[in-house]
Amino acid sequence: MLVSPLASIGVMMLIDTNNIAEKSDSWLSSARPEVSRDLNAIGREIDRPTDGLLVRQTLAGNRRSFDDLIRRYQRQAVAVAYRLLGNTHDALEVTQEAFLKAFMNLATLQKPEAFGGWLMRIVANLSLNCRRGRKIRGQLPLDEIIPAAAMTADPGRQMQSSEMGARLRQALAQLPQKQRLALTMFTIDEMPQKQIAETLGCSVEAVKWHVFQGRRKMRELMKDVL
Amino acid sequence: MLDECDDLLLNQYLDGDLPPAVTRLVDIRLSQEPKFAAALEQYRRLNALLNTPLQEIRWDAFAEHLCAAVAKLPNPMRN
Repeated sequence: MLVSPLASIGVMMLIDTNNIAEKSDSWLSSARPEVSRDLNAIGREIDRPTDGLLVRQTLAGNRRSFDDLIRRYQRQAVAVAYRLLGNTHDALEVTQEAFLKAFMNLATLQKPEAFGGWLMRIVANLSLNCRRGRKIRGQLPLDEIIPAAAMTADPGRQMQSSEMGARLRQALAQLPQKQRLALTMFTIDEMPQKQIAETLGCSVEAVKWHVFQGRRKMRELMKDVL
Repeated sequence: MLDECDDLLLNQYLDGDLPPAVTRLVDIRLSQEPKFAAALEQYRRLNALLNTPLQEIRWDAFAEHLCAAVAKLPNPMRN
């Protein structure tokens, strides 16, 4: 008998439920918070408005919807800029500039659902421009955003000043742009491959190919220090 | 230097993209071929270098600042 994938997931869930029921009370009491947390997470995911809805609401005049997009994507945007720029201060500045640019140009976004990929493209372009020497405005109150203890222990700054950091940046700079972007974004845990593909305007398979080619060249360029 | 196929295999192994049977075969090769194992180790070190952790950031404060900056802008115009 053929069983559809969804049906088989249903069967697996039934099996899991039965398994839970068979466990002892003590196990159940410790497992319940986990199950409850998972269900809450699923609930939050279902309740969460889509990017497309938030974009449309923003365009209709609801600015709080854009605030939600800021909270949703700020970490990812900073991570992308940080990977490309090598230090937190510039990454925060570029992220601010990217959100302002995204807001002002929101009506030009053809697919509101693809907001994340579009925003990361803006972040990447601004980061690359910044690397080419364009000055950024420097309006952020960094002392409010970065805790004092972290100011003195920036792993990126330490990395940037080290010989290894310099070699890494030199090697990355020698990669074609798509390989460099794919490789840097691929290391960001919370960035889905589909979104990297949207950012680069290619398929997920192509992203993996760019990552592979980039890593291969980087290994060759840095073989004496790896 | 490894040939491109072996490099691709190691990258897929590193990313967990290989089916279990192929992963087992790669494990066997890694235990028998020092050159193959050394290349994997180099890829691991490269990934670690690329993955330098981000400095601690007060995300709520940053979001507040971003929202305030956007609030100063006029509404985006529809096409």
